[in-house]
Amino acid sequence: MSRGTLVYAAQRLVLITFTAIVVSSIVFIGIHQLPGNAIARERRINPATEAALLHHYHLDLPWPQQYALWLGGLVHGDLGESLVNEGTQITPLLLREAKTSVTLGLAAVAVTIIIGMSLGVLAAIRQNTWVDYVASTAAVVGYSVPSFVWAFLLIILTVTGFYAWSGGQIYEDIGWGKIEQIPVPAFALGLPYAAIVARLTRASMLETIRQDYVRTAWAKGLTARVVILRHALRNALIPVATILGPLITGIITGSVVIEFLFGIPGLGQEFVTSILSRDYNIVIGVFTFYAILIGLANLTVDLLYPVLDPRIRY
Amino acid sequence: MTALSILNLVPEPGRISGGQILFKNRDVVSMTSSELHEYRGGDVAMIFQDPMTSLNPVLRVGFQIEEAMRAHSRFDKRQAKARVIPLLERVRIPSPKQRARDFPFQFSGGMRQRAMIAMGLANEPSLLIADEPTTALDVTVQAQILELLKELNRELGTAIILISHNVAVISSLCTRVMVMYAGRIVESGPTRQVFEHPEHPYTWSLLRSVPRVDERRHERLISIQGMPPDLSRLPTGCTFHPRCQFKVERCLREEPPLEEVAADQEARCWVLMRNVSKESQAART
Repeated sequence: MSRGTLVYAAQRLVLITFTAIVVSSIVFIGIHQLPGNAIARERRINPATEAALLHHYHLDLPWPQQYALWLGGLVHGDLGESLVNEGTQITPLLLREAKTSVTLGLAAVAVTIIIGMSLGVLAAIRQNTWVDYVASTAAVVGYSVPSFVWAFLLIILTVTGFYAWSGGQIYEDIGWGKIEQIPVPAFALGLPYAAIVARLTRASMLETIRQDYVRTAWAKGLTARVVILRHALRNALIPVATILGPLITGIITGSVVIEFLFGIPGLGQEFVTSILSRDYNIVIGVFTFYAILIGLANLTVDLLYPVLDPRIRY
Repeated sequence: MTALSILNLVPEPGRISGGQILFKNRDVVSMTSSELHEYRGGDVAMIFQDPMTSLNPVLRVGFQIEEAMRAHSRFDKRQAKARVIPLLERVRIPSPKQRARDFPFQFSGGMRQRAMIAMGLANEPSLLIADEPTTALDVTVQAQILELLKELNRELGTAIILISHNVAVISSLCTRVMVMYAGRIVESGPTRQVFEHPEHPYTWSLLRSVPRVDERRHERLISIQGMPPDLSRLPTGCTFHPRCQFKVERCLREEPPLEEVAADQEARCWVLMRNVSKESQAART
């Protein structure tokens, strides 16, 4: 990695930190404008207990003071304490959940890239044959069906379908913790994006396989595999990489639904449950984590450019 | 297109519909896929018109040369690596050691064409096809590249097919010339002989449309009337007849065969320039 790239990455990291602080501040201030308080429930509670709880969470202070306290915690990486489960520290909880979400996200990105690119390359090198038509149609269908519908279809197929066909021998065990539980949600999350990647790869490949340098590669006597992968695909990847940024953002936000459906204890599920249980401290924490994750994902994509195309230098 | 056929690399939807392409008594058209891969870049190498787009932009120049050798069995891995720098040196790339690690965008046009030539020569092919290798380059660089080709031909004995519309380039480099019109050979022979005594009206007009330093200024430069024909709807008879100033009635009906018109010289014409009087020739200039 060149010096310029390192400086660039450092600048971006500063920017990501700044963005995370701004995002969480907006959420913090927004949430504190809501009427009522975090302790209020349908069931009446003892005023003395309520006052004690409010005091414990510093909720009895005016909000600028709360904000200052919270910001002081944030810069030390402390996101505070859960409002619902007293004593639960949010930072380690969310770190654990983020690890789960990142694992799922990376698996989904792998599905997207492997399936999307294979289909795109196949369709391009077999342009206007049945292979192309099948791949292109699959891409349109894949793109048109949203993640949560894929999730249901895949659950029906891998849980009840496999169970029935194999007489109870094989079935998907919905949940998290075992390696074999990763692929199904990863497919549900990645398939619509795989379709986008397939369409882009096809268009980009069609352009590159007609380039002069690909003709040169053929004229050198290279095998079809080398010509297509090393010469055509390497160049076709550059425009495809530009959508990786928005794509990863889509996968991260899409995981909210998928994690909930598959019962995966990740950030997405926490996001939903914390809002429903009005655990505001966790809501702010989840937003902060999402801001950081999206920032890091985009930085990774941007650092990929100079690797793919030597003409790009930071 | 003819040159791409020699490598059996005609782009879709084109194809070789008939005939033979013989290289050392082997027919290129009927080669198996693996024979073809060995033959391309091994026996016959090709350099293209536009060096700016003919090199892969994301791979190092040295690697692209090495790769040409790795695709063939003539040199092993170590030899291939070791040959890159001498090859670049051979085509006069300055500081070849550093330059081999550069990407094509760090090269100038002339250097890229040199790199292409080095790549073509990597497997010591017996034939090098140069498809308008200097069209995209400026005149001084053009001269350097031509000088290099001449030198390689002399020193390595590599045969060169030069495709060009530049009469001056052809006359300075080639021993034999084949003049093509609408995809067919219309005249062929030793360059000097053909250029001094062109027999086909197309060759004759072509030579007359080149400005010359040693010519008197008031002589008018001719241009060939009309446009090159649509290759999917060729005219009847001789394909050149709609633009020919010396055509006779027969040219409209029958296509002339390629026939010997002088020692070692062939032309595809019913008329032949030797049968056209000097006055009539002069009237057409």
